[in-house]
Amino acid sequence: MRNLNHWLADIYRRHHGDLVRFAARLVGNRDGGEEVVQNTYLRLAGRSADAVLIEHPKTYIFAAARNAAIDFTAQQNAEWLYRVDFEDIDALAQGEDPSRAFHHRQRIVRLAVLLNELPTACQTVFLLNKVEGRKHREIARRLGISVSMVEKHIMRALVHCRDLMRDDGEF
Amino acid sequence: MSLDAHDRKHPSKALSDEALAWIVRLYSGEASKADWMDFGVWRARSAAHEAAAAEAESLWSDASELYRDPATGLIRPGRRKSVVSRRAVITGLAGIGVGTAGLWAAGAFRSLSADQTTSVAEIRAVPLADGSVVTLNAMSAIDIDYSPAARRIALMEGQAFFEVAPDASRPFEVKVRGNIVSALGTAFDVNSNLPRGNVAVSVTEHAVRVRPPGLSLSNDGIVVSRDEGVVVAADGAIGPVTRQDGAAASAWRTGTYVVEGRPLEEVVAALGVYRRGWIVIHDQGLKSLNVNAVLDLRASDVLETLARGLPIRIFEMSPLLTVISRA
Repeated sequence: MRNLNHWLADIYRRHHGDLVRFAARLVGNRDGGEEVVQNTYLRLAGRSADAVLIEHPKTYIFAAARNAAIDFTAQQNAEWLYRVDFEDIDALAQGEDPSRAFHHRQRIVRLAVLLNELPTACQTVFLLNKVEGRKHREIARRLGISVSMVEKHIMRALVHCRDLMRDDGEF
Repeated sequence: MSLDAHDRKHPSKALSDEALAWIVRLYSGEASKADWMDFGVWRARSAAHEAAAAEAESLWSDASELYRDPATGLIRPGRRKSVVSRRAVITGLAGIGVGTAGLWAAGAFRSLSADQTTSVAEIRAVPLADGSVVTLNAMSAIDIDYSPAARRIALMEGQAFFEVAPDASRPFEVKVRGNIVSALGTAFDVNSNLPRGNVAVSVTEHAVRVRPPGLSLSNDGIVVSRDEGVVVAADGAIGPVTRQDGAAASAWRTGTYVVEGRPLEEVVAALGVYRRGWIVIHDQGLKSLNVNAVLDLRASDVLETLARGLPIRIFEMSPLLTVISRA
């Protein structure tokens, strides 16, 4: 336990400021960021010492903060997360497992947080294409960038989300 | 969790990157149906390809309900409270989906307006008032117009075999895509299930007269006799009269498809009316592949049987979409 506390203290000294800035970017404001980072420390402190034999402490603590930010966002969107929309009722009436819709929304929450890590331009291009359904060519014209840059942004967003979605449930 | 466990659980990043690049291309707003077919072929290459494709697709579909909160600039889960009306989202299978819906819509319309119709894999003999019999192949439709002066049948869709009761005072005519096929005391087969709007007429007994649309009144068209056949193109051009076994041409009536020296696309069109959904030939060059075969139309594995004798591979992409590609 002493080891773990030393370790956390070391993290705090070296990375606390960066961690709060990182978390704030994921959840939207400094207060939220502080809360997320406190939750991260609490969660790690609750672990047994040998569970935290970590090669890359900095990577580890940032990943833990990311997961705490996802939980924080899920809480903030609890109403949405558990709500059943009219458009879902047909599916439910046809016997679709309601927990599937819930898991789907949990993944959406996670994606929202992961996308917030990316540069704004990358986010904007991704949303224009994926959510608004704009064509690559149209986005390029609108933002004054090349079509190949549009493709690179979308690819970057997908690769980033793919990598971090694969880590799902590690903490 | 160790890195090894990850590697076992997920397809490699290189393969996954390829799958994501497909997604980027397919949802660019300018992907063609051919691109979708190519993706289908790509994902069918191995179990790992399929897993990478499935992972990429679920990632893409999960990202559907997101919006940027104007107050914080943050991306949030959920739908934006309709600030602007949402544009039609680029739907992945637009090309295929719309096409299929179109096909089925046409079918639905047809069955409302036609006198006699058959559905997928259904063959039916329709007795007519004068003792003649029309046998409809699957997915076919006719309109019957009998008057004291004439017996007229319109083949609106598909294929039919006609056995005509003799009645010299009332000519028996089949109208198909503007062509008039007149019986000269006879049994014959008319097939409009052909690529590019072609129509084939094959004669089993006696003879028929075939008049393409747009002929002057003085032109009587051509006469096709027993064990002969002719193909009329969509523009009315009449092909050469060829020898062909009348019994083979109408063997479909007993559930057998006999094909000799015909292109693959014609064979696929003939088999297509025996199953729901689409069969798509992926490679343009394959469409003209020469086929000789005797096939059981009712066998569910008829395509696999066909593939055994040809340099082709069959991919069941979904219950509604089968892709034929080069082996």
